[in-house]
Amino acid sequence: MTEQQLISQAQQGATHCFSQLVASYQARLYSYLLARCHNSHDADDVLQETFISAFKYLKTYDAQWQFSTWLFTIARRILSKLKTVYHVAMDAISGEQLATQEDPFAIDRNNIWQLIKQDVSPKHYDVLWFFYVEQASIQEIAHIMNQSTSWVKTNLHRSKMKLSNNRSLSLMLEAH
Amino acid sequence: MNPELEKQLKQDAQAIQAQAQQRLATLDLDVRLAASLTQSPRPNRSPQRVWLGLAAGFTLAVLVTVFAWQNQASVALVAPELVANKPINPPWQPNAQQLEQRIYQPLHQEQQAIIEDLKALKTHLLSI
Repeated sequence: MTEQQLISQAQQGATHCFSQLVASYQARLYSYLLARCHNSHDADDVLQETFISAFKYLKTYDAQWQFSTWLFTIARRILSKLKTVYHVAMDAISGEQLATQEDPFAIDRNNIWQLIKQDVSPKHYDVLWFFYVEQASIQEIAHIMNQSTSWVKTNLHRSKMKLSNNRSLSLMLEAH
Repeated sequence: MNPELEKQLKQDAQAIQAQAQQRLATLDLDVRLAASLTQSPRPNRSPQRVWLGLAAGFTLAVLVTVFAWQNQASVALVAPELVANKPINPPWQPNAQQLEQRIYQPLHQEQQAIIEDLKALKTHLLSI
């Protein structure tokens, strides 16, 4: 069964077809969420919420775009909601408490995607991820981020410039 | 951008992807989702709520009818043009008429007496 057929069947309410779609896209989506979220538990929750929302609103899916583009769009919306809640919660939790919480699936601190989190804004981070990891087109990135293509081009350029001028990243690359 | 930096971005992303695969193997996403996806959609309104709304509406209608019937108000039932043509009969009008009578009656009596005197005088003069 092709992806389009699976989507059509899932739109009719066939959960087994939707499960196949989940199996196809969960790794890509979860990698992005794991990189983007503060811990793996948040990533788990957003992943689950994304697929539930996708199933709920599957009839609104526009076949003009790739299914992955649509899933990333939903994931980003849920992530932005979670981020608002997270910032409120963070104020109530002290740094020591956070340090004691062990996350076995936390990304290595020396991973470049972890390092650039401090330097670039979440939007720039997303542009870089979708461009380099997902290898999405400028149009697709614009659709995911609900921005114009010129906005994506400008911000991709700015993000690249920021990373190029980052001294700690240069040192890290030299060490490699 | 530095090509080494681009290469590093892709390499480290692969490390994250491998980590994600490991995590997904223990996550049981299918089981988690199955429970949420197979849940029957919740009806917007339960039958109890519909019946409760209908009962409340019916009770309100009965109460309004009884109240209107008891008071015979019917103000809202009279057409506005009929109200406009209806002669104004304010409740204070009889009192005003009585008050007017009380004030002007002595003057009127005196006026009548003067007229009578003048008539008598005229008759007397004509008879001379």
